[in-house]
Amino acid sequence: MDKLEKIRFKSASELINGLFEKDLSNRDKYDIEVVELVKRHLGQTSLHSRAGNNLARALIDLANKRAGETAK
Amino acid sequence: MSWKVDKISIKGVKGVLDKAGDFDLSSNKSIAVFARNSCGKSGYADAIEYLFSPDGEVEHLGKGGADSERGGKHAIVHVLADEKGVTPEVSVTLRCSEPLKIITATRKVATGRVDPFPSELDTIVQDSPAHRILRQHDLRRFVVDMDPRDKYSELSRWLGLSRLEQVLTHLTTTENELKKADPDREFDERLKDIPKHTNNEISTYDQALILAWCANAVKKYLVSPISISSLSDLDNCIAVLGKHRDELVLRSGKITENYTAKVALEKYVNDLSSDECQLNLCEKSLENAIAAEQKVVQVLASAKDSVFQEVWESAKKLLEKQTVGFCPICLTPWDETRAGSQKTTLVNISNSLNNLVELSDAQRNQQEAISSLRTDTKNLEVYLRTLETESSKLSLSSIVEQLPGLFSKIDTLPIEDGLPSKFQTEYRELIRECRKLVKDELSSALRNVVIQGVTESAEEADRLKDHLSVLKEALIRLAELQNAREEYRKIRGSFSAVANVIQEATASLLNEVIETLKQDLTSLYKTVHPKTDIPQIYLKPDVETKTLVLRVDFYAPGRTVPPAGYLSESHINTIGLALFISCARIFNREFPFIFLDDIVSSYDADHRTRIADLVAEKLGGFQVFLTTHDEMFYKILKSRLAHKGWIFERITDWSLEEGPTRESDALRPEEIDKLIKNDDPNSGNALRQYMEEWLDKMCAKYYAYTLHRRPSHEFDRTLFDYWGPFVDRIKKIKGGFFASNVDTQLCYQRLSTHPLINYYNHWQANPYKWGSKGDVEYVWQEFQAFEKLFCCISCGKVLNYDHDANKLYCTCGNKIFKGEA
Repeated sequence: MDKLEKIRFKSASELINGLFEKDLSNRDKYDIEVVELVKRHLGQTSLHSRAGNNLARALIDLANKRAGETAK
Repeated sequence: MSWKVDKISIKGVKGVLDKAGDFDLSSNKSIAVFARNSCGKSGYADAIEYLFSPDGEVEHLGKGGADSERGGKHAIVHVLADEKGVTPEVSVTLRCSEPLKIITATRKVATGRVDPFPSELDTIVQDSPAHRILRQHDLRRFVVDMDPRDKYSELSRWLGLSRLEQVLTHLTTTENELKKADPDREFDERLKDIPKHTNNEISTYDQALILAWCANAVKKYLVSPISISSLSDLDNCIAVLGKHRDELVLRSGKITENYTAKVALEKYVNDLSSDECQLNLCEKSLENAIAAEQKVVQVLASAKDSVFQEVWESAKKLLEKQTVGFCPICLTPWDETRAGSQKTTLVNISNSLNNLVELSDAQRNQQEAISSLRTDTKNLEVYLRTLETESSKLSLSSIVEQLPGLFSKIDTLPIEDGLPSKFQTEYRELIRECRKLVKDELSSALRNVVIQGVTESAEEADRLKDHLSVLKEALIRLAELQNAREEYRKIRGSFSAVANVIQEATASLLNEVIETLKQDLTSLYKTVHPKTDIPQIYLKPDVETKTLVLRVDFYAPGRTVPPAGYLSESHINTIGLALFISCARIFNREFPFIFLDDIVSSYDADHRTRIADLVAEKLGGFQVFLTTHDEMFYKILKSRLAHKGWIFERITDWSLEEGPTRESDALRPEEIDKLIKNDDPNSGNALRQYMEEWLDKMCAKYYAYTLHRRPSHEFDRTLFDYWGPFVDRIKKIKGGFFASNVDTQLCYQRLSTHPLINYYNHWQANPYKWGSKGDVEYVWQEFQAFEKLFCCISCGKVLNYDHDANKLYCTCGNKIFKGEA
């Protein structure tokens, strides 16, 4: 078991939380508002049954809001 | 944090009633139990499986009732438990070293639906999700019996992938919803309106070009040409065209019902944004009524009870005219009242009266607002009735069909209750539906209405007006969509980038685990089958289809096949065993405990040794509870693991009332010391076994031929069967070893004559119960002294024997025994 003892896999929660805290927090690479919405809807321990639909709705609203601001 | 088992206690479960159910595994011990069939050893596996099962099931017993074919949960309980007053339960004490923590979890066996899992074990089991009980019939389960979806499901459970999978599923849903809502789709649809309403003269989205076309198209209807350079110009143009049409109709005198209906309905659409529109009036009335209601509530909170109004008015008149030393209402001197003075009292009374006036005003306003709302709502009904009438004239069935629903909603509004805040949501929803009906559906329906019975020129003007209206809407919407789709594309791109990161990380984790699992699995497999005809074992997960496929290369790399169709039973079982151990090693580190129940049944003698190697070499970090009916396998394990913290026991009998008869199979001197010290009834048999093992080993070493083949043992042998040949042999060793170093020793003389050596054996009645503790202690002490005769007196090491020279020697080179020649 020696070699195996040194290997440690991330749990699902560690993986998700780590992504939001590190990889996806890069403002130059990712749209922070989009990341925040994804985190709010899919980054919780317990997910709503319509989380995917709700996230889509939130993203569409964000797009419309930005389109409205651009139009002004 | 890593949990170890200190104790297991089983009562009233399977073959264990109230004895033989306790196991002390403290200090990280493992245990191997040997028993022939029907001695109750698998009952221990059932008990442990029940304890750690979240739903309280033992798989091979099934989920049925007491009368089911497999017995269900009822078969877990010992048949005499109830009669003997034994509560069936399984307990375990677990210890964690860092940080130090000890927990004891007890699970009473419940045969009903309610069977709570011990909460103390929740986190431990969750953190160690791979299987921990392996039985003979389980070996092929994962390899052969489970389909790829079930295999993936198992892996997902071990890895805690369910949360990740939910996230991935929702990401897919989001992607699909975004695709459906893509403005590009609507943009492309709207684009089609342009050629359709410009006589196919324009096909691209070019606002300037389209407006120029419109200006050109209306030229012949206008007195002087106009330029249309913006959408508001187009609006005006449409209005002018409408007036022109109306003039043409009036002039011709052919005012048809069809025409008046269309004109009336156009007014509905055109007036939507005006303050006079009934829908806007209703909205305004609602807001006013809500505000009036809130005002009343607010004023009521501070206004005093109006019952005192007359009293206050009288008191105010009096206090304004004269100064008095006491309150005229309660006749209390001022300094004893709350107000404290006439002046303050007068101010308070004035304020209270003002509040009452304010309340009165607010209530009056509220009544007026409700009345106004009632009137406007009635007018809304009229508005919709007219809409219904005019739409019917034009056969606009899609409009007419929706109106009864709106009338019904109006009827159910509780306006008479006077509390608009309670129905404001329903009211606003009603207005919203009406507005949508007029703005979207009516305006669209009207464009398809051709007024009939009027002059051709009026008809033409009307048709052109409709085309321009459509073009105007299309241009407005296209401009919105043009703007929106840029932002939409950016958002969708950003979302895809985020989703990809999550998907790739998940796939990467899965591949990492699978690769490690595969390598470990292959290594374990080759421990059992070193000359393997399986170069490679493959585990191929698919996150999208949620399947896991297990394949092997059969006799050559690249000849990849499913194991079930090509491998023998033992090979399949080995893959199953290797997979079980590998998964336990990878996923159960927080609680490294496994139970192996009779796993070698399908193996031949050669492979049993390999299985023993597997257990001895690959489960170093684990606590193992192993049961077997294969005595050879048991002895091999014992020879390898007796000095490595393993306990060895034998079950020699089983009865319904007494349960299994367990005996220690201790080999080490300190274990025997402990048994004797504790006055353990098994100490005699442990000593006998110890001596037997030692004599057996020495007979082999000194080439003393016994009656029975080594290492198998028959039950009708006695210690003398070893002792006799052994002594005869050492007598023949050169150098006078026996004469000077053995024969003269008291321990040899005492043992030679002791009944143990000559008479005790396996088949005597109750041979394991000796006469007294004293007997055991006596023989033990003498035997230990006898053992030392075969050690070098100079360095203490065990003497070696040179068979060819028939002499003893020690590597230290010094004198090896007393009286050495």
